[in-house]
Amino acid sequence: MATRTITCSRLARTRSRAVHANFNNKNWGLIRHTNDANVFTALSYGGDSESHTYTYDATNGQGENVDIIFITSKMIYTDNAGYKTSGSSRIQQFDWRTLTNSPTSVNVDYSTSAARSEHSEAVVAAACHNDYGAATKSNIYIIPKEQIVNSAHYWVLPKLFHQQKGNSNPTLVVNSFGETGSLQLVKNLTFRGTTYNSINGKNFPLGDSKSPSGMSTNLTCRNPRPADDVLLKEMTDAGVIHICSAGNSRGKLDVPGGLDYNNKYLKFTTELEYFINRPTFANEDTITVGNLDSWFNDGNTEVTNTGDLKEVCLLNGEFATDTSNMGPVIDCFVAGTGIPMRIPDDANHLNLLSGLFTGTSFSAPTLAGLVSMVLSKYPTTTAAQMRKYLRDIALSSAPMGNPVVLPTESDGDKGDPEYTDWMTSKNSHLKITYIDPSLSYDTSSITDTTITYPTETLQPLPSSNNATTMPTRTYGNLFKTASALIGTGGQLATGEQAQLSHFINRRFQQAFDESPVWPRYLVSSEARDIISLNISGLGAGGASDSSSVANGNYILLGQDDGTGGAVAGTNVYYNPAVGTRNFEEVSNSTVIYKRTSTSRWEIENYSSISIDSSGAIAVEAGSGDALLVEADSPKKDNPSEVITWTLTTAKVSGTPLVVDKQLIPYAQTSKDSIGDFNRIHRKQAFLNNSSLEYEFFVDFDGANILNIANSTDGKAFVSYKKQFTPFTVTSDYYNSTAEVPGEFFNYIAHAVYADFLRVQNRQQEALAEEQVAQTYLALELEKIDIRSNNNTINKRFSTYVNRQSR
Amino acid sequence: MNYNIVVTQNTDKQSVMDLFDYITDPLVASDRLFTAEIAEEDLDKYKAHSSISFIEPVNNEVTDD
Repeated sequence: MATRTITCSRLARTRSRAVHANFNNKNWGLIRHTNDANVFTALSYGGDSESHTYTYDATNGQGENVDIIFITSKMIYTDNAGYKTSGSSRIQQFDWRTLTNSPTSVNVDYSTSAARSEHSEAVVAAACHNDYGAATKSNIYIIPKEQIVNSAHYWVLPKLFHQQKGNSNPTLVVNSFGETGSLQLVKNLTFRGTTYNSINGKNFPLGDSKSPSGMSTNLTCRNPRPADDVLLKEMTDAGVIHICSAGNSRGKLDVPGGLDYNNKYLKFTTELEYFINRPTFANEDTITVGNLDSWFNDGNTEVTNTGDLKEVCLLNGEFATDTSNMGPVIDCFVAGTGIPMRIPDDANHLNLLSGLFTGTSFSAPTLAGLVSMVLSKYPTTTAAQMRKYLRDIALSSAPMGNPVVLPTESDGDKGDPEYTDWMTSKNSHLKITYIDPSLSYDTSSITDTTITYPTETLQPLPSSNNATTMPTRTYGNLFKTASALIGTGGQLATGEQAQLSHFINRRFQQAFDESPVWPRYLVSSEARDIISLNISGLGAGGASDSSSVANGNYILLGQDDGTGGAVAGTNVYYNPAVGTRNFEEVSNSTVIYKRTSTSRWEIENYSSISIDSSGAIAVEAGSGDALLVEADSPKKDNPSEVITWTLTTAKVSGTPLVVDKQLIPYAQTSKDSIGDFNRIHRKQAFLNNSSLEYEFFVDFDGANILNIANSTDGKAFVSYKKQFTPFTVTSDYYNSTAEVPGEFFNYIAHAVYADFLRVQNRQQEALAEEQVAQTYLALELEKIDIRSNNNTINKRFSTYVNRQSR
Repeated sequence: MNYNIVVTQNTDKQSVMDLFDYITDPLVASDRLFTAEIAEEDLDKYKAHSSISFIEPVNNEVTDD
């Protein structure tokens, strides 16, 4: 084995772009992809350098005896010292016309005065430059598109070259381009089998348009080229290995049979249809390379030295660059972001341009350089074997953190916005390339080259996803998503399912507790009874036990009108836990009233109170069974002032304690139980007029009002958060239709995944995943602010959970 | 207008080329593809031919990634 030192940098908590780059750094991809794990550490600043040891096989590790053909936009500077070995250039000035049956008549101009481009220089450098690429001993061939313009020839010439070159060197073709389509001037768009003439309720614009998000992520897309694919197939069948960039359209590249393979749009101007989720070059043996971001999450959640371009990484671990095309077509993700290179100026080679190169254009050649090492040692490897090797074998054990979102049925012309959202996996094979530099794996021995693509199943739209309720998802969906994140490829073991269900409930409650004003659980200004009296201390009587209907909370119903035997104008109370109440009476309840005939307070069971249409109330004095009567003399104005009660000892015993209350309890018949009190008003609030707001404190029994306006008030209007109810699913988790609040779905899924990582002692990944989960939750909390719940319903409170009005 | 004509697999490419009057690139090195000029009115006729897999306009436009 041999080594060399490579000084490079990779961005962690801080994200830097060109202005902060250190152009003395080299290609960090060589380090990343020859190590199983990410060996870079958190950097204090993007341009800072780390010194790493690059290890390679001493015999084959520089791509010896491999011919790499680059199809570039223009020529490169052919006298570049970066491509020289012992003074001789590895750039072969091959005359493509000399091949038998060559389709081209172009005599390629390799002179240093030939038209050059930065892109071409950087592509070749990322693979073969002595400073930047792995293939520092490979032979370099160039097909410049500007000179050989017929795209059919790009694939025919390498095939003929490979067949006719007269040696057994493997041939590797690299192309960093595709055909780009534009989703503009759209007449209609067909998405998952349905054609839409509008997008999200609006007509497709005729000119420059917004991206039809939900159906496609970006305004640009790949256009497929079936004719090129036929030639590509002939080329790879002849033994040429083909590596292609995935493109930077933020789209999904699907495979035949995939959910999005047939998505297409019709152009107004041409009346032609264009597919939007297919690769340009779709040969089954082509190795398609996505872009691994330089930015990664090191698990830290704070940026202490804030400033430009410094931010906490939103995703978990390592992930694809946001511009990279995604989807099952992508075979591997390779460094293609923030690669510093110094390349000859396309006008004057003496000037070196410092560039920080980003795009799948540079992922593809970085991989090609590494693949040349493998081909150098195992030169008979076929295209299919190499693709199989890169897709399923040469893999880092480090996971990628792009969010996995399951596709859902299209909600009309809204498409599937969550699925097509920023940086989601879109059914990608989320794998980072790792080529063991010892090259111990014999790629030419691979017998099964079958590629299995991850499958997708459309999830049904939430049943309650309509205008009157908030969106929900099912518990089964949540379980499937969490399992997909955990990476089971199917269902978890039974024991793990139970564990996951516990994690889900724990995270559900965490999310629930994060805000007192989650719209789903918020009840605004609901009329609630005020408990005005409480009786306690009574026990069973000698013959029966009526203590349970006597002890308890009593509501002040109002003041008696004096027509039924109670003193007019005195308070009438009843026990809401006993008997019934409707709009015209309280019946068979325990009632406290002041009786006219005796001028004493009496407490009767099985008593009734009539309520007439004007709201006047009248106790039917003596209609029930007396339990207690006032024994004091003189008589008191209020029952709580009574010192001595005479008990009906056959029914109750003991010494009653009667105390005043101004309490609103947590529970009330036929209403939701209160989880948290937010605000209490005397009249209905948040409607039209302002209303007196009560101060209160909360104890075990409920909210105690401190400044009640009138002690005869029987009601107050409470804004509250409903009580938390955990999921009760205990079996058949994957098919459960129990509703999960849509606003908590992603948080719970990622948070329980973090819990699983923690259980497996994968602490760093757990921290990063936790952060992803928190980001989802923060987005939902932000929506609460936007809806002004925090500033209206909740403005009384500023707690550690709801933080503050932002 | 120039079109790429792709013949079906295992079809004698020359026999298909003989159907066309204006071959613009025979692409001898390919077993399945050649380029020909086709009049608009003849396009559907060729597309329906059982030995032709598909026809598409010649398009050399690509964009660097």
